[in-house]
Amino acid sequence: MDLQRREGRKATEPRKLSVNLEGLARVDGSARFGFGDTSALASVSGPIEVRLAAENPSAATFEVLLRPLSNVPATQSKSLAATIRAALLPSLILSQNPRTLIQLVVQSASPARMKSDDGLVAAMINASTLALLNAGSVPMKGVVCAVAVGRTNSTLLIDPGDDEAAKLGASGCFAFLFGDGVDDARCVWTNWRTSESFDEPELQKAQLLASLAAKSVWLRILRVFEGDATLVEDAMETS
Amino acid sequence: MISFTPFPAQANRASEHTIPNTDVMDLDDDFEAGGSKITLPGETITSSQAYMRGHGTYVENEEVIASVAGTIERVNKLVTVRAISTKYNPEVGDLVVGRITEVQPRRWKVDANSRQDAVLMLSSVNLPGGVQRRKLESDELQMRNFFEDGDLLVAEVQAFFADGAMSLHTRSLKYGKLRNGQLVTIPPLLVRRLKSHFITLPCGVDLILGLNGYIWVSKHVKEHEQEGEEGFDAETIYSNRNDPIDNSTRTAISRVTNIIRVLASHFVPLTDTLLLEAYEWTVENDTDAKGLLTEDVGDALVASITGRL
Repeated sequence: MDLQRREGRKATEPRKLSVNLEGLARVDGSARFGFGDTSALASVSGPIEVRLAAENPSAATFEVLLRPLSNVPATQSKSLAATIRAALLPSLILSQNPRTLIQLVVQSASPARMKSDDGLVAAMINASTLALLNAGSVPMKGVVCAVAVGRTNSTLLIDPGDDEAAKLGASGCFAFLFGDGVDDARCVWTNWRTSESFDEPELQKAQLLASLAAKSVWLRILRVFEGDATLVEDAMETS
Repeated sequence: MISFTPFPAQANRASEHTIPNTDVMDLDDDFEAGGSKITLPGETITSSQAYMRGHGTYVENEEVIASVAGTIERVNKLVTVRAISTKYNPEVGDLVVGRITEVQPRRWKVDANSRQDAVLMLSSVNLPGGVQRRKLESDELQMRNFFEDGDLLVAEVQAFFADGAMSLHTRSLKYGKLRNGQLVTIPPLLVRRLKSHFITLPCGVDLILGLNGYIWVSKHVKEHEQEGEEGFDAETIYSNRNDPIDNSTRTAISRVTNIIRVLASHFVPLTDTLLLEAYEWTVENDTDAKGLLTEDVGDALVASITGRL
């Protein structure tokens, strides 16, 4: 753990988190989330009218559309969109709005560093969660927070930066569902993979490390909304 | 459980209306909110045996759990979480102002500031030739003679469709197409439920406070001159042409509009008395409609009228 990282980061410390509730005009909720330079923008509309073909009589249809930084969405974006959908699905209560559509659009705001950029996936998941919370129109069971983990020379690193990403032996993104407070975290999705040997204790260690970092993301999200509420309350008091 | 909520929700609104912020104060007294009043989805608020769940919560394992990010509010035994920012949530009987976005077979689509466009069925509008007249095939063919894309109208929420979209009706002489005025949009939260949403200000201005945050400010129409009852001719109720409006009325309309804008930007809930006081203030201080929008004049206006209450 005495490895030197850029900007004096500890191995368990993510890059600087940036959170911004964008307030896009034509959607119900929107947010931008970033780990350092890696950031993503997400927007939520819904419950809105659903196409007849996608209508579900017992629950809302949850649709995730992913836009890459350049070019049109292709197979890779579709697969990533399916991943993000799977990670967020456990947090949503869709049965309360049957026959409607909840549409999540995620725009990547930084280039993917390699074929699959776990940091970017984590930023997308966090941005999506924030957009859903900002919309406040979809009932949720909890808050999904994600972080990337990588391994270099048998050291596990939280949120590998640009310089570290190239020399990772193993890497993955972990998404956690936070229910009742910061200590109630459950891993809902991961894509941990390694080019060398795979062993379970290491996966568990990586997951534990990720859950600690995800807590800091969760606390950051809570702080954003606390700040938001005090703004509204201030306005109420002055009136 | 859900069937209980409408009644306490009404009580909640009523208490808000008379004494603002009572519910927040209650919460401070004895509610175990755990310090911070902000909650994220998934947080356990209280036991479902002692309290009733309201909007923004769900019940699991006999516990009331938050399902949106927002502030916890409690009125007696009803616990709700009010989301930080919300769009307009329609309820049956609400008065709304909307704009036609599309003409479809036997129905119009209406933008009413909600999540989905509202629907106005041809069968729920007053047709020319008598209040009791039923729709004919010929009416279906000339729907654009009644409402066209872009027309503004005032209507009441009649029912909901399976997907949550609202169905409107204009089957009253008070409802229908809007003219002789202008529209202001404010956050729906700032329009409280009032006894009547049709307000006449003594300065010759009529106001329609749509609960969806759309407000129509128009020239006053005298009671006996209102179209309707025996006359009820299509020419006037579905007319697209304004009546002649004199200059003083035009000034009054834009003054009221700008007062509403200023109040909304300072997050002041609208009431008729407040609007009247604000209008008197602008006349006393000889402020014209344009000057109202400057920041210091707006601040002074809000400070003076909220101080007086």
